[in-house]
Amino acid sequence: MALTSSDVVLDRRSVTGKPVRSRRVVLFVAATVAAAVIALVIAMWLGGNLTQTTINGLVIGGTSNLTAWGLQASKLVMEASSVGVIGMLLGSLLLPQQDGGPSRATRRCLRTASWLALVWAVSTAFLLIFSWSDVVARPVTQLSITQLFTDTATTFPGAADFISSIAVALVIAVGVAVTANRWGVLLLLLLACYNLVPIALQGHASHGTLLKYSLIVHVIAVSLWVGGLGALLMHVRAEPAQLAVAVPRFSKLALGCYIAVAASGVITLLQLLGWSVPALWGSRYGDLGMLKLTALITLGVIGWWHRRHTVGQIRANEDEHAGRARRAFIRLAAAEIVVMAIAVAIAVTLSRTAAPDTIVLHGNQ
Amino acid sequence: MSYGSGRLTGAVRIIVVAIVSIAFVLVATPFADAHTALKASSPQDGSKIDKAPSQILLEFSLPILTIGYRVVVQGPDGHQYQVGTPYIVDNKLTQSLKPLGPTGTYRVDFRVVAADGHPQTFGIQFTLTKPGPAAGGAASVSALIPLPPPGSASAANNAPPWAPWTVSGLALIVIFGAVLFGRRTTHGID
Repeated sequence: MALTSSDVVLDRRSVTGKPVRSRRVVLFVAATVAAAVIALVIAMWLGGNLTQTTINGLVIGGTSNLTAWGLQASKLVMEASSVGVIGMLLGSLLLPQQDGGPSRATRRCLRTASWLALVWAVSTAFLLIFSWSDVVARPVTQLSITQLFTDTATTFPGAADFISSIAVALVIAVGVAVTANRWGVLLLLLLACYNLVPIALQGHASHGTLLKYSLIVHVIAVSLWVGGLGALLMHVRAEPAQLAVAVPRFSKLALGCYIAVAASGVITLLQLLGWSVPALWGSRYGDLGMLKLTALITLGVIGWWHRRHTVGQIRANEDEHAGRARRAFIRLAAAEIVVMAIAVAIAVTLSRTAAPDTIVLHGNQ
Repeated sequence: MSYGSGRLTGAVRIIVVAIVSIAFVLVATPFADAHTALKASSPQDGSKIDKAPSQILLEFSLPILTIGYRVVVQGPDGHQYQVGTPYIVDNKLTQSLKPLGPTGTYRVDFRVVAADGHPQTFGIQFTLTKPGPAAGGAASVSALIPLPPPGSASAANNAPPWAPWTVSGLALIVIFGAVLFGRRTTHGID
């Protein structure tokens, strides 16, 4: 944990024997962020979250633009950072030990996890403010923080979920920074998975037991899968010996997560569409659902290529095949991360899009 | 291929467990309630009435919170007719009205936060066929009239007609692209 950033850079150079291809990395990160933001904006527009009903200046459908956009942006940052925390913790557990202790990649994973947990806490605090503003239909500037703590029930009854989530994220941030022990990391990983639940259930989830459970399974499996892949790509890509062990381990887990994500996702979608497959076609909710199905199938295809070619070969880290397999793994994983970022961005909007059974309109009968 | 039947059995086992647990969950849990919906209103949505109501009554399928509510009643003359704050008890909301004026369509737009914490917006409208008290007519006392169940495909929920086609086209391109990309990337590995 005592590594400074310059140590890490030197460290990567010495392992690969080549300078870090930082420009490519920056381009990739920029492309991923851009893809997520563009997906969020398109999904907000497609989901009808940009339209506000205004009559004589009285906003009926929502609150200010700041609240509408701030809500989505803070939710996206919160989702990304929570996935990151879980992935980094998982990644550090998948990596083999080096010289009887945590390897450099492990320590890098843990340090990133600690910072991301801090981002998680801060973005959840923003999410609290914007959700509050949204629920009570008042601009952010007119909210009374003191009243929130003295009289939660009539101010913003949902606040407790956010506050507990912020607290747990801070515990994780500090906990990771002082932990170098596998059991400790495992404990923090479980705590992080638990901490996904309160906010995940703020969406449409509170409408039934089945929906609740399928959403809990969905967010935890997605976080392990996406985050774990992100951790491998970010901190382990340049270390063949570590990849050779971690990738086959991760691959098994990823298959399990994929099945869990697909099953819970389909159940959630069908449930919210009232178990009517035709409702998929033509409703806003259904369109966003189809986009997520597309991402799921695309990731399934890429995962199939992984299992078919790269995972088996990467294990034999000595011969030249392994080098090719490693490069293929990194490229495929990078493509996966972009698709996953888009899917998460759509999910952020989807959790705020009304399912088709919920709207009553002017003279609709 | 470096993995044999052992790995495949593992995958199959996971799939079987997943299917069985899904089946179990499906059988064991009752189906969900939907979001809150508007159950009844007075005046009824889309109705034509000849006596002006003095208040709007709304009944929802879930209790609503006494935060974040807002009701706007707009007359055909563009004026707003709501007066005072709405009165909320459990799942019922009452909004007092100023004496209504001219004949024509009155729009009632309202936003409530259901007990589950979700803000929702609804709208109903009614048509006044004879002038209201403010325009010299008589006022009536309201009673709740149940709404017919809302259709599952109301207009605000519908995406633009081209959207599902675009989405499906995009899906085909992306999935096909993933197949090609995977083949190119893994070409010559084994």
